[in-house]
Amino acid sequence: MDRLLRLIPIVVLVVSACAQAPASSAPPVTKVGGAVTFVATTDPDTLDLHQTSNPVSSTIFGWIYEPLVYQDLDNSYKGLLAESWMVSSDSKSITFKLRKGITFTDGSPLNAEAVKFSFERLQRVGAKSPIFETFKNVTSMEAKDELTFVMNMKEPYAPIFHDLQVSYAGILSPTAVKAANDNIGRAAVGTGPYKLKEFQTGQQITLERNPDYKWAPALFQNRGAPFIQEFRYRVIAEPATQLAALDAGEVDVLGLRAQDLSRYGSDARFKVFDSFTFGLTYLGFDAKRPPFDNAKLRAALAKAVNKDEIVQVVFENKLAKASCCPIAESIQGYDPKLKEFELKYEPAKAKTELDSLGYKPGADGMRTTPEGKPFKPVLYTSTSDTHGKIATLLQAQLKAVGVDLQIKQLESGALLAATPKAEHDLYLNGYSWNEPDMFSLFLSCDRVTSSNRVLYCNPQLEDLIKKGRTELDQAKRMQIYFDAQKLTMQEAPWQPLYMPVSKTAVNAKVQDLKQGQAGGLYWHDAWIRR
Amino acid sequence: MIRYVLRRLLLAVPVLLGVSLGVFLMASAIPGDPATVLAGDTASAEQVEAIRHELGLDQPLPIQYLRFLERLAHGSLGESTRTHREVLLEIADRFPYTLALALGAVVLSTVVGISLGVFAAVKRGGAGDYLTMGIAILGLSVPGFLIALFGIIIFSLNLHWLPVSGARSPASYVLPIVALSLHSAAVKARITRSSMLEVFGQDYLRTARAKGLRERLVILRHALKNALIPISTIIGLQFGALLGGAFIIENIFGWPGIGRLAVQAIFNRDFPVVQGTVLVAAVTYALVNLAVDVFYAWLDPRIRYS
Amino acid sequence: MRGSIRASVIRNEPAVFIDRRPNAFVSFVQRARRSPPMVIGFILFTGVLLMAALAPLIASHDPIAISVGERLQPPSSTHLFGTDDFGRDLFSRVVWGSQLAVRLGTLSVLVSVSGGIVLGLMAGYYGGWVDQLISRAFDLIFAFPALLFAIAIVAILGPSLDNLIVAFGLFGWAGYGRLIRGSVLSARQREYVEAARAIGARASRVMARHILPNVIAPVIILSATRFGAALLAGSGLSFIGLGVPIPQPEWGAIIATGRDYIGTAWWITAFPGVLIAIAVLGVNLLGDGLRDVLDPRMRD
Repeated sequence: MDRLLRLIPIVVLVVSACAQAPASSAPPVTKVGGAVTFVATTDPDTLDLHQTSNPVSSTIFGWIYEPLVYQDLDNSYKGLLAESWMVSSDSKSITFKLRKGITFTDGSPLNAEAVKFSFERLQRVGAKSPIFETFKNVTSMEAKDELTFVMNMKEPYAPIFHDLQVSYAGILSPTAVKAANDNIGRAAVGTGPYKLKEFQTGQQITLERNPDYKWAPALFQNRGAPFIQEFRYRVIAEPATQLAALDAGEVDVLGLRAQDLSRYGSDARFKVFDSFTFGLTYLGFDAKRPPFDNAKLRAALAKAVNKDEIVQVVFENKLAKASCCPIAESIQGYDPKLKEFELKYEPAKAKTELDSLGYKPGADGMRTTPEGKPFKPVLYTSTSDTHGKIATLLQAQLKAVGVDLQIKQLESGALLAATPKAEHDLYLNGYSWNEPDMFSLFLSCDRVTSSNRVLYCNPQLEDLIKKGRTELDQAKRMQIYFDAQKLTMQEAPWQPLYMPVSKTAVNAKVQDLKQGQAGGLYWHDAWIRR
Repeated sequence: MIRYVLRRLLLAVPVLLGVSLGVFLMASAIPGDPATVLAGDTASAEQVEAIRHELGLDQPLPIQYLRFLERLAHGSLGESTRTHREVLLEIADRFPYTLALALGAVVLSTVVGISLGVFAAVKRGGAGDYLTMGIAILGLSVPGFLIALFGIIIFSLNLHWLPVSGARSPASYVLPIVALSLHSAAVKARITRSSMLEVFGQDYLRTARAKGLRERLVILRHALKNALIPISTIIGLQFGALLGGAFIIENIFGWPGIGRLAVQAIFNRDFPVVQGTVLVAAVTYALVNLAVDVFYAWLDPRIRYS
Repeated sequence: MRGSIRASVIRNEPAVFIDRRPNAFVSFVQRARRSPPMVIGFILFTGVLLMAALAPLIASHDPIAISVGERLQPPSSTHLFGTDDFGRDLFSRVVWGSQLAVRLGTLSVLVSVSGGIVLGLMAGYYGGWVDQLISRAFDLIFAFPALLFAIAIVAILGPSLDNLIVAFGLFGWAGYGRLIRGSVLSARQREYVEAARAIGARASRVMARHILPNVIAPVIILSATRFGAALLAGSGLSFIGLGVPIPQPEWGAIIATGRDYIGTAWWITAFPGVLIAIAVLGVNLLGDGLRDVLDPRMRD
C-alpha cells in the first residue's frame, strides 16, 4: 500500500512525453534549484530495473528510466519514448516509431537497438520483475531501423500497454550497461528527467536534474528539464519518525495516515493532496480449504463484514473508500452497475444463512461446525499496522454473528510461503495493479500455486479471464470484465473491502505541483519557492 | 601471554564455525525461501523456480553449506540475494555507523555509571545513595525505545535542538547514544556501588588507611580497582551486543547500521547477509571478550588464566 | 565456622550460612523488613501479581470489546486509563495484560533456569569433554545476536506468547549455565565437597546439598534481570510486528500501537509503560533485597 511512492514517478513519466515535438525553450533560470526530500520506507535494494520488484526502488528508478508509453489522464495510452505505434491486423505484432533526438545521460542515442537490448535483457535476467511473464509472451523483437522497433507476441495481449508503461519497462542504455559490466545496480543511466547523483547505503539516494532533458509531454507547460534541482529519498522505516521528520522539515513529502490527519491535515506549512490509488484491499477465503470451498459459506460470512465501519474506524472516513467490486473505482473496468451484486453488510442474514448451513451457535453464542467442533477460522494477514487494525475489526464483526475468528499476522516471507500451501482459512491483503487483467494474477487457475492466494479456480471465470486478456476491442473487453466481476461477486472468493485513498502532505515551499483527475501528482512543472 | 591470546583465538574458530552452522540450520527452518520473497507478491511459480535456480537454492542443503564454506575460505561472504552486492561490502558500508554508536554508548554509560556508582558508594546509606540508586533502577526499568521516541518528540520536534533521523551530523549521534546508554549506565552504577562496598569491608583497605593516605585516594584506587573487573565484563558484553546492532533504536532513528541490515535480511530471507552479520557480530564479540580478559590479567596479576 | 562445616558434613546438611536457629524463618522476615529494597520490591511485585491474579475482578470492562463511539478518550471516571484506538477500555486491557506479563517473565526465567542449571551442573561437575562441549555451546549462544535469535524462533514457530517464552528462555540458558558452572567449579575445590565425595555421597546429592545453595544469590539477581529483559524484549518484538497475536493485551503490544498516538493520545503508551517499569522495578528491587538478606556478609 505505498500510496504516494508508487504513484508519483509513474504519473510523472506517464505525462512526460506526448505526441507533439518537444519545445526547446530552457526553463526560466530563477525557478531552477532547490531540493525535495521524500521518504523511502525500506532500503532500496537495487536500481537495476530488471532485477527487483521493490516499489521503493521502482519509484526511484522511475525518475531515471523512461518507458515507451505512458497513461494519460483519461486512461488512454500515449507515447513517451515512442512517438506512435501500429498494431497489426492479427493483433499479435506492434510496431513502434521512436521519437527523434532523445539521448541517454551518457550521451548515447535512444534507438530501436537500445529498446531491443533492454527487453531482451529483461527476458534473460528479469525473473524478479513483475513484467517477466508478459515478456514470455513476446516471441521475437526487431530493430527494423534506427527508430523503428517491432514486437511480436504469441497471442494478442490486451494489457501490453499497461505493462509497457510501468517503470520496470524503462529503456536502458546498452553502452552504459556494457560499461558497467551488467552491474547497473548503482549505476543507472536512462533518458529520464533525473539522473543518479549519490547512493548512500541505508541513508539516502540523491537524484539530480538532467539538464539535457527536452522531451517532456505536452500536458506540462515546461517541456524541457525539470526545475527542481534534486530529489532525495531518505530511508526512514519507523512511521513515527517519518512524521517527526516531516514536521521538522527534514522531509518534504509524506503520505499521511489516519492518525496524522487531525494534526497535519490543516497545517499551513503543508498542502495536502488527495488521490485515489490503483488498488483494492479485500478479505479472501481459501477456496481450496474445506469448508471454505463452499460458496454459500463464503457468501454468508461476507455478509457479516461491515465495510463502512472499517473505513470509519481505521481510515477516519478519509483514507479509504468502501468498494463493492473486485476492480477498484480508479481502475479501468469498474462499473457502478455491479453494486447490485455486492454482498452487503447484513448480519441478520449472515446469521440465518450460517444456521441453515449447519453452523449453529453453542451455549456460549459461538458457532460450531456441522460436525460439532468449534468453528474457529484463522485469518492470515501481514504484520502491517493497517492490516492489524482491519483484522481487529473483522474479529469483532464476525464475533457478533457468532464466529470466533483467530488472527495470525505473518511477516511477508512467511505469508508468501504459507498461502500456496492452503494453510489459511481467510486472507486479508490487497493488490495494486492498474489493469482489469489483475484477474490473471490473483484469481486465475494457473496462479493457484503462486499469486492467487485464495486458491480460487473456476473454469467459467478462467474462460472469461482468457477472453479479457486477448480481446482488444475496448467495449467488448469491458463487457467481459463486467461478467467476470459479477461471477466473482456471486461466488465470493473475495469480499472487496476498500480502495485506499492517499493524502499526501507536501511542504508549502513546492509551487505549481499539478494534480491529475485520479489525483496523481505531476512534478515536472513544480519549483521551489525560496 | 602471547600463547594465551593465540590459544583463545584458535578456540574461537570452532565456535565461529558453530555459529555459522547454527545460522544455516536456522535459515533452513524459517518458512519461506529467498526465491519467494524476491519474486514478490505477483510472481508466477515459474518465476520463483527460475530465481531459485539462479540462487542455487535447488541444491541440497549440505551442498549449499559447503559452497558457503568454500567461499568463506576464499575470503568472501557471498553476495546479497537482494542487491547482488558483496556481503562484506554491504556490512562495511554500515558497520562504522554501528561502531560509532557502540563506542559512544560504552563510553557514556561507563563514565556516567561509574560516577553515579562511586557517588552512591561514598554516600552509602544516605539520601544521595538512595536517590542515585533510585535513578539507576528507573533507568533499568524504562524501555529504551520509549526514551528514544520521547527524545525525538522533546528534543527534535519541540526544541529543535537535534535532528530527527539519519546520521548526517554530529548532533544526530546524541539521541541514539543516550537511548542506548541508559540501561547499561544503570547496571554499571549498581555494580560499581556494590563492588566498592565489598571492598570497604576488607583488610587491605584498613591497611591502606593505616599508611595515612587520604580517604579519597584510598577509595579511588583500591575500591575502584575492585569494581573494574565486573565492569570490564559488562563492557565486554555490552560492546559485543551493541556491535551486533541495536535494531530497534536504529529503526527508530533511521540509523544506517548493521542491526537494521540484519533484521531486514531475515525478513527478506537474504541469508548470505544474515550469515555475514551474525559472523561479524560473533567475531567482534570474541575479540572484545579476549581484550577484556587480557585487561583483567593486566589489572589484577593474581588472576591466573588456566 | 570450621566446627560447623565439619558438623554439617557429618550430618549431610547443606553448608549454607543460613542461621539454623529454630526461628530461622522469623529472623529472615525480620531482616527482610529492615531492607528497604526488599520491602518496596516486594510491594511492587506482589502488586503486579495480585493484579494478574485478580484481573477478572478488577477489570471494569471486557478488554477486547470494541466500542467504535468511544475511541481515543482520555482518562475519565468510566475509563480510568482512557480508551484506545478501538474504544477498548485501557485499564481493563492493562490489568489483563499483567497476566501475560507475569507469564512471559516467570516462565521464560523458569525455562532459562532449568536449562541453565542442568547444563551448568553437568559442565562443572563432570569436567573434561562434557565441560568443553557445553562451554563452547554457551560461547555460541553468547556470540549470537539476541534479537535475531528471537526473530528467527518466532518466524519458525509463529507469533504467540508461548513461542516468545521459548525464544527468551532458550537464549537465557547460557547466562545461567555459565554462572552455575562457575559456582560448581569453585565449590568443587572446597574441602567439604571432597570430604562428601570421599565418604561416598552420590553426585546428585553432593550437587544438590553442597553446591546449589551457594548459587542461589547470583541466580536470583540474574533472574530479576532476565524477568525485566523478557518484558522489554517482548515489547520490542511487538514493534516489529512479531509480538503476541491480536487482540491479546500484552503491555508491549499496547505500547507498540500507542506509539502512533503519542501526541494525540499519550495515555495509550504511558500507562502500560509505567506498568512495565513498575514490574521490572519491583522484580529488580526484590532481587536486590533477597540477595542482601540471604548474603551473610551483609548481615549486621
